[in-house]
Amino acid sequence: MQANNNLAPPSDFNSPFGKAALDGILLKEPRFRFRHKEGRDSLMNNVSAKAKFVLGGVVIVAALGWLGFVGFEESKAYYITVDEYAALTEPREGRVFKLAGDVVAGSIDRSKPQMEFIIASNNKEILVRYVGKDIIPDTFRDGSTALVEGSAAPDGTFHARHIEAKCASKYEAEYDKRTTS
Amino acid sequence: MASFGNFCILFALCLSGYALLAALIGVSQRRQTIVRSAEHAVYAATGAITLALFSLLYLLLTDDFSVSHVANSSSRELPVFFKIAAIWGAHDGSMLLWVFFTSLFCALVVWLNRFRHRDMMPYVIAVLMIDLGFFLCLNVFISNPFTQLAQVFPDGSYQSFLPTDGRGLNPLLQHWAMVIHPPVLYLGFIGFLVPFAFAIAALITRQLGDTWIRTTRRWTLLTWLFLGIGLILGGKWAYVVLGWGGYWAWDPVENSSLMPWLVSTAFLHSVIVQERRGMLKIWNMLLVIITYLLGIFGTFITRSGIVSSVHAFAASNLGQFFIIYMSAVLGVSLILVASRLQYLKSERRLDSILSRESAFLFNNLILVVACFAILWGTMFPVLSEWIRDTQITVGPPFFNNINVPIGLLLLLLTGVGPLFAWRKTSLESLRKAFLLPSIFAVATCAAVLAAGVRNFSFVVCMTLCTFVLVTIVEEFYKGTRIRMSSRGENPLLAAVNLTLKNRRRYGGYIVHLSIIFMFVGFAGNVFNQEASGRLAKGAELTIKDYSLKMVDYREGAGSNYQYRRAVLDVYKDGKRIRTLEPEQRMFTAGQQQTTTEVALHSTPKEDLYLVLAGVSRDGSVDIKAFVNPLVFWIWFGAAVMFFGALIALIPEKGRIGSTQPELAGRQTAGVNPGV
Repeated sequence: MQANNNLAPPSDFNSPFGKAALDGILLKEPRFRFRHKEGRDSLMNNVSAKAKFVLGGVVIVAALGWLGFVGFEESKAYYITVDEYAALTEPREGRVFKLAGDVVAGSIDRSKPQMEFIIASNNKEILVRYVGKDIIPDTFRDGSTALVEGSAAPDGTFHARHIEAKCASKYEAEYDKRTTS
Repeated sequence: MASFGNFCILFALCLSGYALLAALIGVSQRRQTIVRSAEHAVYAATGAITLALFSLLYLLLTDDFSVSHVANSSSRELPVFFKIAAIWGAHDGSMLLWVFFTSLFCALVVWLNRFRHRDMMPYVIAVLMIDLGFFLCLNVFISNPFTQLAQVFPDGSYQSFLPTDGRGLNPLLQHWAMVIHPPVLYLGFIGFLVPFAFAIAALITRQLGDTWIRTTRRWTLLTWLFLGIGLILGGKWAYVVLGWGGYWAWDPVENSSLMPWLVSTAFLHSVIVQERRGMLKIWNMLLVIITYLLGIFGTFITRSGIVSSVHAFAASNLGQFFIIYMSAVLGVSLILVASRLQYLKSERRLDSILSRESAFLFNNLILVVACFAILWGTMFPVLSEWIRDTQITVGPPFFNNINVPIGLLLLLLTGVGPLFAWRKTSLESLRKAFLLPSIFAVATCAAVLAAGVRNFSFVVCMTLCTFVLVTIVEEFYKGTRIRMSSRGENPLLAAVNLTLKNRRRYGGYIVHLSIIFMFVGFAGNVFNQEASGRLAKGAELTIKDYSLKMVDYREGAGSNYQYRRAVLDVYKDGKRIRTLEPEQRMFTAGQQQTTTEVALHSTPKEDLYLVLAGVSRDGSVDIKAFVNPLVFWIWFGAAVMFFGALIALIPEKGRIGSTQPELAGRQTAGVNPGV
């Protein structure tokens, strides 16, 4: 302990950016001064410093893990296609789903206060009512592949709070390719 | 031209294979001339790939739609600027750009080290060529940008096919930030190959002292900078183009570029501990390997379609190749590290929990935990499908719950770390160092609370920001004072000289400063407001203290799109401040997609952000308005970060790393059990 009292205030010669940073200011400390005292005392300190670090680390990681778990429970959603959703046997209440399907052409009805549309996959369809507040993405339109996140409503429709959409890539399917070589 | 390009990449693949073999044979036979020929092959491969890139550019500029990449990502009426950008507008071409950057890095590494590290270089070349060869293979055999379109008849015969026009570049990509975002991000991903290659070469040659770290320090920092700028540009693009009012959504693709950035940030810090104290050698090795793999993993996420994302390229069949490559790299690297453990022994131990080392350790721990949490959340759909056969996705609450506290902890460490001394800090000196920053921090906390803010994260963030700011200012102040008294310089000159004489240290502080600005910007998030309404001409929408008056609705045509535009007068506290024109664009070529052009009134205090969400038949418009406080500071912080990193990057005179090969075991003499 005594040996360390003569250390100057940290910023004077301790650089986080290597010894290069020492130039131009203050001390030209001989570097070996850092290496003194590797005796039994410091060995005891070592153990406790390491133990303290591990303890601190465990506390931090545990706290973050708990926060993560809370966030996970809050935001988890079952990601299934519309036909899988239709075939579900377990109760749908109380669970959040993310349904994937194609927007049925002509089904988008924006006249109501809350937009409604039908998404489908493998010949199963479901009527979706958009109850969210976010802007509907530009890519959402007839025929696009949509992901709707929300939950089952008592009337059998699906209430979506969030919509993602991707354009269907039709063009690439039209032509077969072959390499030149 | 397509055949020429195809030939070029095939030839480059052969050259990279040759360079790999020649480097290994040269080193095993101890024949410099063979190693030299490997180096020449690296240059030649770079040349060939450059020619391939130019031929793709030629095809795009001449509208050769017989080539599938051109047909898929360009069109006749596309402005020339975007035709160039169309190189990376679709998957195949962007892979060529990726390979081009990789080869440039390889050639640069070989050239810079042509007289140095002669014993390590053959292995460096070998690692570089394995990476280059892997991506060239994908480019040649799986996603070839020179593939031509063909029409196949029912009887199996085919003939070449030339569409009259291309699909056009995805309209969402027709924005300046999106044009430079992918190349910058690629540089950020690819650059980690260089430290990785040197790390592997150091492992193989048992030169596990500081040489590999010194040689690659600048590469790491540069790459880290590219990745950071790429991330920010992506955020900027999302903010002004996607039109949902934010810049970060914890999307898998965004996450996959954040992960290597976090780990490389950890590496940049822990390297300092190794340089100063000879500790954390194994840890640093692992960080380099993980960073490199995460870069590859990011490409894998983006291109394999394994997790769905709005940003991803269409699903391609690349996934399995990436998985094989990544597993092989991970396996071989870990075996190498394991076989060299005796050379990676720490020279010292952790003396005290109140030390600079310990602060760095916590910094590393937290950054790696953040990365792991993000990886977990991103891959959870895939994991849950493996284990329970249902995909379960997690949303922003998960990521925010973990990463907001992590961010605040990091901010705390940013301030506290530099106050600790190496080895051990006495409580006395800590009290002195903490005094002034703490006073300011408490004052800020009180001021924020007095202003009526009750959001916990925001208050903590502002308090910590002040704390860190004061510590940084103090650092500069102290150094400047000393120079002023010892050299008689005026304050400004002293401050500038101080920074220039200790670039890495003070550049680092400037980067820390930029982090404060960004955190202020992030913290503004908690006060975001939004409002929406359908406005007929003359109608008004109020949000916060702004009032928006719809004055006109217009339609017209731009170079390759038609637009619908609402014209709104913006009043603040009853005074007219400006006119904003949010817009929707319908692109005529190809997919006829609609995009949103956000209208933005940005001030340091807050952004007013307007989106034209729709137009009804009677000419009234749906407007969505956001007020996002403090966003300006994120972009400002990014600029400061760029500046600070540049300062740290400029070489200091006479400090170029040693050109002498180290003797294996010299650094480890005291602890090598084999001796």
